[in-house]
Amino acid sequence: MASTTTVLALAAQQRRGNPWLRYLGRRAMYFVASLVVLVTLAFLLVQLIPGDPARASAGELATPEAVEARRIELGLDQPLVVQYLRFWGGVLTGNLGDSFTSRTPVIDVLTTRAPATLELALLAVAVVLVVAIPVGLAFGALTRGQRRPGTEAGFTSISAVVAVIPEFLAGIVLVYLFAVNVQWLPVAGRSDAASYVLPVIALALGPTAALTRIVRAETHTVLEQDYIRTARSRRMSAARLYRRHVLPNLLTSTLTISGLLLGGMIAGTVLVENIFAWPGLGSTIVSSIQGQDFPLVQAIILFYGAAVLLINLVVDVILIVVDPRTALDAA
Amino acid sequence: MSMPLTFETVTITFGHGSSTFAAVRGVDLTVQPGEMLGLVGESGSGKSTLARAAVGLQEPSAGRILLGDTVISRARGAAARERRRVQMIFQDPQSCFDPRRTIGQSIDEALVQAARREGVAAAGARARRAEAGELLQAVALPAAMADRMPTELSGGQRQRVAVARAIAARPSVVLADEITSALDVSVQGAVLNLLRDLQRELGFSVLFISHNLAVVRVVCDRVAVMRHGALVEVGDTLQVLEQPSQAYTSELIAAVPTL
Amino acid sequence: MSRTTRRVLAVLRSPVGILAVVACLTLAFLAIFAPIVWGAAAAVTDTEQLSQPPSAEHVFGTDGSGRDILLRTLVATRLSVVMALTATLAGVVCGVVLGLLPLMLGGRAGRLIVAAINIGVAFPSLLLAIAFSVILGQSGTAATLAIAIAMIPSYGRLTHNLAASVWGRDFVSAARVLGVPDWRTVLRHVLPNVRDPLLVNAAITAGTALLAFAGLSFLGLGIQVPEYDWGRMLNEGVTRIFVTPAAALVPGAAIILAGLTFVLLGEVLGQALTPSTRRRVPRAMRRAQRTSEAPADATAVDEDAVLSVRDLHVSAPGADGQWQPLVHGISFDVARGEIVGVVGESGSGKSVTLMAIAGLLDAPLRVGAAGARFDGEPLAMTTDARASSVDHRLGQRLAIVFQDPMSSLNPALSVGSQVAEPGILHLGMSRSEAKAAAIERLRAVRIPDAERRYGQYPHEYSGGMRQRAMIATGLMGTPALILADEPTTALDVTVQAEILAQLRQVNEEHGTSIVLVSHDIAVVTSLCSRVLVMYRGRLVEDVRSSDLKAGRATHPYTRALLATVPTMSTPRGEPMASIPDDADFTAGAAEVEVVRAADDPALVETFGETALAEGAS
Repeated sequence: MASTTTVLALAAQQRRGNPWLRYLGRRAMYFVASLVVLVTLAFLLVQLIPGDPARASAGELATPEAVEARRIELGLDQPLVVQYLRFWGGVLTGNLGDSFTSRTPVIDVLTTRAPATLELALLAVAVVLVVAIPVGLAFGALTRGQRRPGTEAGFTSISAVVAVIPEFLAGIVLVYLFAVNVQWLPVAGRSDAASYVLPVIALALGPTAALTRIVRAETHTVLEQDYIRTARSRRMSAARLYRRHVLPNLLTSTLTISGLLLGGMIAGTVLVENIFAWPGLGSTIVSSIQGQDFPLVQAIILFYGAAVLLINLVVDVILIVVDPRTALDAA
Repeated sequence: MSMPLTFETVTITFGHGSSTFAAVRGVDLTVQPGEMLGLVGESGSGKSTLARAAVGLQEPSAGRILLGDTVISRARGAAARERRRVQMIFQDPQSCFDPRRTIGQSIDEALVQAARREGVAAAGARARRAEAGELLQAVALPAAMADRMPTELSGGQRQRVAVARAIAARPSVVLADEITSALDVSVQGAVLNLLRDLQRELGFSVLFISHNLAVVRVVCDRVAVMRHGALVEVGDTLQVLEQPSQAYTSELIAAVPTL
Repeated sequence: MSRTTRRVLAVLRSPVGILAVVACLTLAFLAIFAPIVWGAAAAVTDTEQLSQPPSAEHVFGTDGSGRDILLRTLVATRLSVVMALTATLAGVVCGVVLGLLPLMLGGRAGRLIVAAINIGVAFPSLLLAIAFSVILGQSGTAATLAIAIAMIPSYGRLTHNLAASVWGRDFVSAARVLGVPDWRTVLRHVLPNVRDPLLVNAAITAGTALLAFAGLSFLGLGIQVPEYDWGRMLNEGVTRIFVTPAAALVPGAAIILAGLTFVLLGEVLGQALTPSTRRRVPRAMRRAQRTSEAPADATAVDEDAVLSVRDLHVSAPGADGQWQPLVHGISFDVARGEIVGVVGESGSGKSVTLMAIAGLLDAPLRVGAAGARFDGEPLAMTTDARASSVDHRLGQRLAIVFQDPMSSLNPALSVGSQVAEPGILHLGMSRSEAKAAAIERLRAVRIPDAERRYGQYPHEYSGGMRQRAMIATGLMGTPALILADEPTTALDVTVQAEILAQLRQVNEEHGTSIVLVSHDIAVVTSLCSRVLVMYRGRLVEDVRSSDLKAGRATHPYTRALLATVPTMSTPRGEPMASIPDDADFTAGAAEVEVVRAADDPALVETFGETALAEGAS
């Protein structure tokens, strides 16, 4: 295998063209393919649900004639292919139809409620990164080479427990402790800075513990690498060793995991928003599923899916800037 | 038993379109029946890739590979069965045995496949076990070692078992890919002597891939030199190593440190 | 009893193992018996006692309909756990099949499946579960199916990644070369080798599935009344959290405890299934590590030598709680301007010796010496003491070249900045001065186009150039000594010759001493004037290179080792010499070994009696 690797490395060197560009091109292709899958799934959602969308739109008490009129109005009488192409047209022009319940364009609902969701997710991710990387690195440094077994046992068990707590339970417990018991912070809603504290913590808690564990384990892996031995042979301070030689090598795996975590946290906002009555898309999607408001469900799922895909793309682009090897390995 | 293994203008490429890279370029080479042919060259010269193509682990993009008169490249069905007469011994003794199976089970797999290739019913489990034991003794290991797991053996012992597995398949040609480069020099001789003795006894031919010219000089009848995927020269070992016709070969020889 | 069984038993007896077993049994017990025992009692609605606080009758109080919160939580165990396990089983089985299919099918179909998995993985599973619950409706069965489908992509990817790495290994190639069909190779050789991590992950996945269920039910998208699981109870309890907090907190606690149980199970499975490469160092041994092993005796040290080492010991913690010696008290000197080689086989302790001198050995190893001096000053011989401290003397005067130049250079930093680093660290250079100096050193070791190469990363260099860059790093200061650990082993012969020439040039131009460790005697004799031969942690011979070449080595091991090295003048057609597996050259044992080797017909022939007889005499 060793020689095959050499051959492949040579192959990479001999290839014409910029490997970064080729990697980006490939990555963009994946993004577009995933988007197509996403749009198709969102379209099929309405086709596959049990029950009649026209009936759902017209209302339980509507006459059969009214339901048929609605069906024609929504274009549901057309062949599937035509409906599919129309859906694409709608996606590309931002016209995703009207909500069955409020009769307003769903795109308006998206634009008014999405900022609250994005704000929550991005704030939480910032908290995760700011806490997890230094804490994980510090514990990794403290417990390297089987040092401080007591600290290690304490860290692993506490972080395991915290990582298991799902965001909705964290939310409930936080509400109970800080809003019901001591009433320091608001129970729900999105108003002043204080109202952000509990939702952001609820969303960030589990991922922070998970990422801290990963950063610590990665720190140990990096510390065992030959190049760390080389760096140590240059007789530098521990601070410089960790900052200059360990940290950059942690970033690749940390960023990859962060991308996945951020995707999961976008989904997690659904739960957190429902606890804190946060005026984002998460509280809307549940009510629209239960109210069979399919255009709205479709639009929100499209939004969440596209947001997650975009995040993955951005993380991958950051990755090749931070660590050019990823691009070469993947190309 | 032995048949010539012929590479006819074999080219092997990796990648597609503008990023194509030829690891092997138009190589013509024949391993004669019963000979030990050395294949030398530096890393990336394409020698391992060429060998992997002969056993079907890589598809040549141009040219063909024959065993006797049968085309065994891109082979399906009967030709693919015929290709199993070409066996390979790998470089890394850590990775060449399934860590979940005993040494005996690994040899047994080769025996079963050999019977299947020859179109005969495989011998019973007991008979195959006895045969595996004999094969282990043939490589100077106790038959009882069949029940051991690969991790319980030393690197040198594992390479000897790798030789046993290869001959269990009743090969016409054995491709030995750097089989001693991961071993200490003190056990290298034992493995190579075994391979040579078994070759003389069973009559198969060997394509002996190595970067160590001194070893090739001792064990090989003929030697072929590769560079950047192309064949530089082929000839009688002493001829090539003492009066090389190509500048690159002289360069390689000059670089070998001497005692 | 097999090793695996012993390991499993050992893990089960550990505190974590006991905890995991107790937790799993409790969970299983509740899932089976709680609905039978308390099912009826939990359904009783007591209109007299709505939303009661904890009391003797109701341990955690009652909910909004007057039902006992504790009993309902216990009864809900079955539904919560069974649904999570069903979804996990379905998702894992489908994921494993999907992950293995690409290898079995190969070609276009295989690539298509991999692409589909990659697209599926991009979407978070909670989002997928919500989308599927829209299609499948809101019920327990639908939620089970939705969660199972949602976990297929990630489990498929995990399986595929694990399987693909096994697929690339030689034993799989060997099976394929033997003609074993691909599907059987996957089932026989790949699946058993990825089984353990898949099992561990399945346990953790079950925990995740349990949480996902609770989430869906909590949103009102999972279990519907009159059935209830923990999530459903949360959903009902959270609205009344001001009145009866227990209605939300008790099922919440149950969710976390059950989730932890699965995580714990995964942890224990992981410990039981993967043989630990780490060895716990007993506390007493750890304490001993900090003390030096040999009594200090600095008097014997040679003051003039650039390096002088007396009675160096290195040991590693063994399985039996004893220190296993790796280096057995060796002493040697290196004169100024001298090139000394150290040869030996793998495990002889040659590299460990070098790293001990460099101060790069870390815990859990233990290092000690009676005395050591470098460049006219004492050298502390302990683990870790010198490694992460700024030591300008060592930084300037001691250079180290490692074996694999690819892994020895930091892949995330440009080569140039790594070469320049000693200038900034120890010579008080500014960033730009260090850069100029580094480019000059790169030129000195014949890196073409050094200015452009300065900014390139290690993967853009060839193997030989990387090793030259390592030497250039050492030349930033004015090294009195270069420690080179197998510097050419990873390189081709022509590149090897260039690197050796480079080292010789540094020695001639700057008078730098070199200690060269190699398993290749020819490499060592071609560069060094003196050779130290190591065998099983001992220095068995200190011999001039010229004597070694002329066959004037005295120790039996040296002579035996020499006999096994094929050269361009070794007689052809004769059996090659080798040293038998069970040979032992530790003092006085050589003669016994020769006889034993001669008894084994296979080894007589392989070794050649003359070489052994000579070695023994």
